[in-house]
Amino acid sequence: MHRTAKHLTAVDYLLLLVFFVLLIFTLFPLFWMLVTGFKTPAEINRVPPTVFPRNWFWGNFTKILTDQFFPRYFLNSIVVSVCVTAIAVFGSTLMGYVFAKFRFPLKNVFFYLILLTIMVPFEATVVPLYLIVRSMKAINTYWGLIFPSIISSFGIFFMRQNMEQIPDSLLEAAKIDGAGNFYILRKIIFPLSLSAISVLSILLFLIEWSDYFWPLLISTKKEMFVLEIGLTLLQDEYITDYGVMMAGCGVALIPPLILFICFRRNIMESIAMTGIKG
Amino acid sequence: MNALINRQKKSDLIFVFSILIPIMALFTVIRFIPIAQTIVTSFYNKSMIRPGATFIGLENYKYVFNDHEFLRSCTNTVFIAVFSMFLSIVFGLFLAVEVNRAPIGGMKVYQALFFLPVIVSMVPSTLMWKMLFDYNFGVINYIIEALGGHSVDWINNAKIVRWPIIIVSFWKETGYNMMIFYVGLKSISRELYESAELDGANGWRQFRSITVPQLKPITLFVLVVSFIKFVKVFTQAVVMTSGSQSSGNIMKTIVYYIYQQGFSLHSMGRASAASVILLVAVFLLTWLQMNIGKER
Repeated sequence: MHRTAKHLTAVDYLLLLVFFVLLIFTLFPLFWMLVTGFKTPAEINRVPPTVFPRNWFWGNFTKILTDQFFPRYFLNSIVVSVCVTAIAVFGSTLMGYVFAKFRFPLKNVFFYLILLTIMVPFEATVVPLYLIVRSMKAINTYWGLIFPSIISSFGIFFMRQNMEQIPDSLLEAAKIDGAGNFYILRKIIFPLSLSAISVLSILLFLIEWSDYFWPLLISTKKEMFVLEIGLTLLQDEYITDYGVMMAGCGVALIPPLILFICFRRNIMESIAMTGIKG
Repeated sequence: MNALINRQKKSDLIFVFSILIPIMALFTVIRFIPIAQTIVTSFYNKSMIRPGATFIGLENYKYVFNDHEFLRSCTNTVFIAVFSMFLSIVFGLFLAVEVNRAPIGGMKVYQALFFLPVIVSMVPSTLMWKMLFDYNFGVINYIIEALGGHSVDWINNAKIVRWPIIIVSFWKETGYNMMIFYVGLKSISRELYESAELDGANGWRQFRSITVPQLKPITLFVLVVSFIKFVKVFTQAVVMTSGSQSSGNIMKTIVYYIYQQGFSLHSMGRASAASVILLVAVFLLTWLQMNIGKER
């Protein structure tokens, strides 16, 4: 469907100009982060600024990676994001199956209760939630950081929508052969939902990886900070040393970027589709 | 036969409730109880650090609505939300149309590049832009100076700093909106354009009389979803205005107000009243979006 031979009009060129200006706008901060991460402090503060570093300087990255706490922040972010994703995807898969393939009393009541929680912004319920976590003695623990995200109403809807596509006849045939529900879940539902499960895992991981508000409330000790908090601290610890800060941002970007490179199409399409379906 | 079906039903119910009960219990602790407590606490004088609470009716709401800080938080939030939403929708739609039209090759690659900011977390995004907006060493001020203008103190002026915050917000959101519009454009039937072409309608005419009306429901949807997202603006505002490079005047938004009342001033009642106001606003917007969804 490429129309490379198509004749471009003046309007086309104008629109393309805007298009590429927007592309520069989109990529420039990322590009500037990268090159700044490789500049010496002296070069960063130079006027006029240099575009590419004159010598590729690794000092900012060694500073970050040998920082007393930064590797710990990174580890914390990984632990929290992976745990949240694993638990929430597990629960969403089970609940999706239940809501997609079973009839039971009060089904609609349960369903609308979960629907209701989607409409309530998390930010509006943090005060009581904080007290609950405090009463669990979970301030400054992984458990406290993970706790509010281990269920995902979005995930339940997402899995339910996907599992409704699985034909009932398949399940009935298995049931006639005497298969139990857990067996069906393991041998039929799970393999057929694998792509939905992986998409949901990526989305939940990305959301958790970028969370800032809840960790800000729950962690007060440096050992328990996640990357998002740690990065903001670099501002004070390395005053106006943008090189170190950008090296930190670059390191924080690695896991999402790896996911994006591997699952680009899945991520983009599913985000757009779930967006539309709500 | 009947007995078999009954046995099957019973084992189904046991299966369903063995999953449903623990998960709903978690929902109760994590979502339902906090929601209920937020609403109840908003009528009480309750402190984060001292035990005990007294019922004070609507006093918290009266306080919040008469609090300058809260009103300023609201105007800041709405200002940031409206501009971020507007810009990300206009440019998201533009990019979707261009990618879909594909006047040149390689559009799939460009589309992926435009999507990149969506996966970058908010804190690094804000720090990157903060560096570009730096008063002394920022590229933006350098360009302004090079063009003969005067450097602008983007970060420390409470009025001006809204713009860097808006730019971060819409920089991150445009790629997302582009994808939603793109999927919408794909679903418009080719035949509509072909018959318009036969009638001699040019590109702009086709855009106005086919694309725009066909995309109207999606546009309304994106409008509400973006607005809900930006009403909760917090991270970009706080990170942009805190830290050693800033004067310490944090850009206050509604969520920041909740945070401040609850966790700095320890007034749970007032934090809860502000939370309920946010909750009602988002609830109404979501309801609106769902009804738009139904019409389609």
